[in-house]
Amino acid sequence: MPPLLLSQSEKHAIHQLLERFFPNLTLDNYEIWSECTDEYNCIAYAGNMGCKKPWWPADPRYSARDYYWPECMPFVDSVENFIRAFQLFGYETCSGPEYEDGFEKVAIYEDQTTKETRHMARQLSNGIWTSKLGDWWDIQHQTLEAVESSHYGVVVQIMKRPRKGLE
Amino acid sequence: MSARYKLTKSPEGILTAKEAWLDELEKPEKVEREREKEIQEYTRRLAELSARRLAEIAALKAQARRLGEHAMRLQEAQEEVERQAKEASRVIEEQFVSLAQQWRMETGFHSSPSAKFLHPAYLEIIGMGKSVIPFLLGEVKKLSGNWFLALRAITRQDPVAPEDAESVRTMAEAWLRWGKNNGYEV
Repeated sequence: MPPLLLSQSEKHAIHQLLERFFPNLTLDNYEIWSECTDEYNCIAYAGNMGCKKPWWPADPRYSARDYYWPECMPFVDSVENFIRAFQLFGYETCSGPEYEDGFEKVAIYEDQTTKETRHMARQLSNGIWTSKLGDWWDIQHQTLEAVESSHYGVVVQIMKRPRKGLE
Repeated sequence: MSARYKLTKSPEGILTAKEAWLDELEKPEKVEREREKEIQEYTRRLAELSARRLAEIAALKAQARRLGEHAMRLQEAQEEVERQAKEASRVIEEQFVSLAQQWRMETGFHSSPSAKFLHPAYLEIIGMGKSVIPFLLGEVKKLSGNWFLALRAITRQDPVAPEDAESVRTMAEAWLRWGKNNGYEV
């Protein structure tokens, strides 16, 4: 699938908006790959198992069934909880983000102040990273640092699993 | 043929015999007088009736005029109510669009529900109450799941059955069915 077809002015406006929230993107040769949608979010996109609804350990008292989260997993935003949930999907923790042939990697971003998970990114088979920015666009970025920010925090954990055919 | 007589008695008891044919001579005049009297009486009653009818017609006309004026005032009042309702709806829509735009700009990059839904603009939209339901359903129709929480908070209902919860699309369809069943045109 090619990048989203945008006019120069549309592309410029979107880049301006994104770089306001994610200043590191100015240093990254990133591209926009989808329209905005809230049918899925960064976690569902990183999980890469079909995106029919967003994933999050959302408090069921408020969010009812709006979010998917594996049954029997607690509803807390900690990185440990995200690690355990992704272990259910075949991921294991690993040391670094470098591309490894035959493996699909995901990165977990944590807000260093609240210690809450804020974002996840997934590595494509060409070594580039892809992120769904909340309800906004999917982007492809060269480095994990590109979306590190006061909003997403920093990468604190990498996980990997054997790559399947689906990208 | 013998002459026929008619006997009449005066108040003083004097009996007078008069040949009957004399009465026949007096009769046309009497009949004429009586007819004239009847005509006068009829004319008088007709005039009275006519006057009464005219008065009734005038009263009815006045009543019709008053009813017409009342109907016009009611129509004007109804038009004013409709105008005010449209104006109120327009103001609510503007307010919703503005708050939703602010909310999207300030939280659109978040995936965490607490970061998204505890934003003041989202809470303010919930605070707008039932008047904002048509606009929320309009967003749901565009397959946005972000407004399910606001709809549940405002309506205190959740029409999404467990079997409808597999995707944003099926949840949106459940809310749109709820909207249709509750008189919302989306």
